[in-house]
Amino acid sequence: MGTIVGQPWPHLHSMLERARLQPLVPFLAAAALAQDPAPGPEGLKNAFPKEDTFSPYAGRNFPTNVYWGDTHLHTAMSFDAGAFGARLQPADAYRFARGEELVSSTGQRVKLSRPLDFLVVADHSDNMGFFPLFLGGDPKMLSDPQGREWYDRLKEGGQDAVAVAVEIVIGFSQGTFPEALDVRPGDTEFRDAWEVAIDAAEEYNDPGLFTAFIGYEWTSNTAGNNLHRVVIFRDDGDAARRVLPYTTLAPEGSDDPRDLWKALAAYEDRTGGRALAIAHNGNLSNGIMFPTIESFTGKRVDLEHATQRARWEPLYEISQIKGDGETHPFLSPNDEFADYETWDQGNLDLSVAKETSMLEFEYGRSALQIGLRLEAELGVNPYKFGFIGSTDSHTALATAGEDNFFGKHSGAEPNPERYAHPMAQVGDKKYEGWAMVASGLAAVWSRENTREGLFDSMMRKETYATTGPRMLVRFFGGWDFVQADAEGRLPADAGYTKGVPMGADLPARRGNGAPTFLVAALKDPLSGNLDRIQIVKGWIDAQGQRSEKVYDVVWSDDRVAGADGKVPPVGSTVDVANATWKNTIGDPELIGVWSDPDFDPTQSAVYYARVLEIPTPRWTAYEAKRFGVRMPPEVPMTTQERAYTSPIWYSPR
Amino acid sequence: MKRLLREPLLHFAVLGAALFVLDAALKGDGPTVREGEVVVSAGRIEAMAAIFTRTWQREPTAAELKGLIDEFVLEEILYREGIALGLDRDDTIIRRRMRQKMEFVVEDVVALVEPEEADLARWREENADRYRRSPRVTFIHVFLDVEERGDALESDAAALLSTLRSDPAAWDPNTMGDATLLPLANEDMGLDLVARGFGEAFAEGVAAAPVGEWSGPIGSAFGSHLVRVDARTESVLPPLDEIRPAVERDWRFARREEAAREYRDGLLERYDVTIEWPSEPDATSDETSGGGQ
Repeated sequence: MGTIVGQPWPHLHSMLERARLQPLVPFLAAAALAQDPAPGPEGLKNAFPKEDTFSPYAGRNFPTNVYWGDTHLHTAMSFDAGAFGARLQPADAYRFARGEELVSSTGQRVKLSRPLDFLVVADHSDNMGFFPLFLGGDPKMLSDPQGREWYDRLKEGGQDAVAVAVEIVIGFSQGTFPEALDVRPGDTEFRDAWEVAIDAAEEYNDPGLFTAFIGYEWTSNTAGNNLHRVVIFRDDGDAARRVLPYTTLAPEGSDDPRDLWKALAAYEDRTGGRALAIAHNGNLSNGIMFPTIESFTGKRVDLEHATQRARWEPLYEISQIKGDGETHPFLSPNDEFADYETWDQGNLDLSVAKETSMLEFEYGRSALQIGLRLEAELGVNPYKFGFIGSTDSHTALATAGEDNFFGKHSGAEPNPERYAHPMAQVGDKKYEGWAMVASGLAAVWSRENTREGLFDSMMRKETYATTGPRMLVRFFGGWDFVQADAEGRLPADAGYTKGVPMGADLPARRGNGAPTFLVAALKDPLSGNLDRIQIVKGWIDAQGQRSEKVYDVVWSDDRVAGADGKVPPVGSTVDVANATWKNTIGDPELIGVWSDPDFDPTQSAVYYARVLEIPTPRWTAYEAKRFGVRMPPEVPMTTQERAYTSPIWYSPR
Repeated sequence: MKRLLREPLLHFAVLGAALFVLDAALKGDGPTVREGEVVVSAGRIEAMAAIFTRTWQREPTAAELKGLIDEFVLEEILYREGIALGLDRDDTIIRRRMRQKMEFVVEDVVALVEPEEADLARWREENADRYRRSPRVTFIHVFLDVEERGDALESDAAALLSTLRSDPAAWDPNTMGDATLLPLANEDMGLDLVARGFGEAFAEGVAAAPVGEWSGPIGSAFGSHLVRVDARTESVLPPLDEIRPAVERDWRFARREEAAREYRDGLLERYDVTIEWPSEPDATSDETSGGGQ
């Protein structure tokens, strides 16, 4: 069920096959491969060798399929989602992701434009199963005065119910959640909820057609600082049933990620299974998502910490409804695309305002750079992660499309007022309703759509993030890519043969030159054309300062780069009033080869590609059109959707 | 009789009776409990002790157990008196709890119903579109970049098409047409995936193209294409054995929904519902009574 280059190639080239089928040693395999004599461009020109095979369909062999999914979706089993009005269950979430039409929690018919290939229902482990009990009027819960008050107001429904949900979330993050309302790992209800989650994934998992992962979210949120992680299991229910989701409250759980990693290690020891964790929303962590000084001990991140983080967290969720996490304009003042769907007023519950000193420890781009610094110090890079996007919807509906956006939670499902209701507000600080981001998706390069295939690709970081559209992106690094590789007919052949894919380390340096990169993107057939592909480089300079530069590599419409090296804006064809656009600007596909002009062989560096679409209507434009509402002038009505690939790393050896 | 055994309403009746018997067993006083009498059975005491033990991780002391029993007696009496006074009737919490319990019962009962072969076969027939596998196509194509070729597009396409038609061996993916990231040779690919990869219009074009010869150009989201379809299968409805898990899953899901609806409708039928609108009825209201969604 791949989307685009999804054809099953029957004949497998043995060497590449070996390289792709060794998930445990992908870097070694890829490096060894890249050191084999690379075929020249002439060899690649004949990628369909007519003399060897009669059939034009024979002869290809690497991950030709990109699979689309959401690794982070909540249902009514999450205590906050339920409070916000979600009634749909994990099984509903899987049905919807597979392409079925559903009726949402607010009674609206809803369907995806295209099915997803995989889904992780990741309900909060804390208080898992709380809401169905609470809504049912559990006597113990209602004997608590706070519980009783919340219950009465929930029954009122509407925005009052939403306000209760916010109070519940704040109560939980500030440690004021009434004990009588806790559902904890020892409780039958907690086990029941976990069984519901596992059963749904088992029921809807169809190897080869649709992958339903078992997972949950560990929601460390002490003092409102977001350290959340989604946990994904590679295994079937038999293994997952042998543990309970790890929570954040003592004594069963802990809010320290190091304890989560221990719990995952214990799972693997006990069952022989595999698990990974994906952090998200560093932008709401107030400076503790990617620390150099641990917030829990006050000590500098040490070798053990770095090793464990790198071991358990191969990916970072860089884009989702609560803001884009690539970078911040304060951190990247020379990047004119940096201020994209920025949420930076404070931490998750707005209990503490943001300070600029926090920002570098919150964003994906700066974390990659900090990781290089820590690697120089410790020998291990804790922040050596790839990227995926996901929704974090609390509606059981994985809707990342601007034209089909069902919002953050069921109180924010389509209605004429939702843009005006803040997601959270403390004093004059608020996260506006219109600031919700219709994002994102996880793209995974894999040979097969199964739990094992996708999980192994995630572990080797052969993934990328998009803010919703399904553009196809290739990114390879090596030492001898030449322009002809971009002009040839089969760039992926050149990519895998001469280099390494996204998520890997550059092989040992060959020759005296700079690293070269082959990057290509094909538009989503249902979305906007492509504006440009950029490569973002990060490094630590001789003074120990974080450094970064964004290079335009290939762009549309014969534009000429200015004196500052920047390609001018692509323009816009968006008709906001009608929420339409034309693909008369931009290109359907872009491909290029780039060599780092500022390469210093003694300096570690990290490179990733960013692909920009031309401007298209933002969800707020569709909303204004459909409901006939007039948005205030500060509401953005267009967006430049984008993709972020997992990086490729260089280190001097 | 067999049909009858599979009626959800019968299951409800049986389950109701079972719950009643179970309750009676716990009470230990059978269905003939006298008014003004409370009997705390040995079974009930054991249950209370077990709950205490689970909560506190130890057994209750004699005094604690006595306390539990006294509490239970008082609760039982107050409960009965409260019911007698009708205090349960206007309490939203009790009403909602009862409703939820009833809904759980419905779901649990339906979960017990096992499909027969004929049920699944009929379900597969009736929902054939859901299980039908997309037609599959094997095709190669030559891509033409619309922007690159501009006005020459049409004549270029015509020239290429004539070359390809006159010489079946002329197709050279390494040189012909323009470069693209799209896969050039697609073997046995579902038409749904063709649509997802190339766009709906292109998939329709491929579905209609003649087999075994070059045709086109067909437009896609990316440009223009000359196409040779080498094989195309019709859409097929797989035999039940191939899709049994999905059919059974969907059958159960639908059965659950249907039974819940039947049950609610059945209840509604047994009641005469009178709605007394306030003097100024809201003419635009389309609310219905009961039924749910």
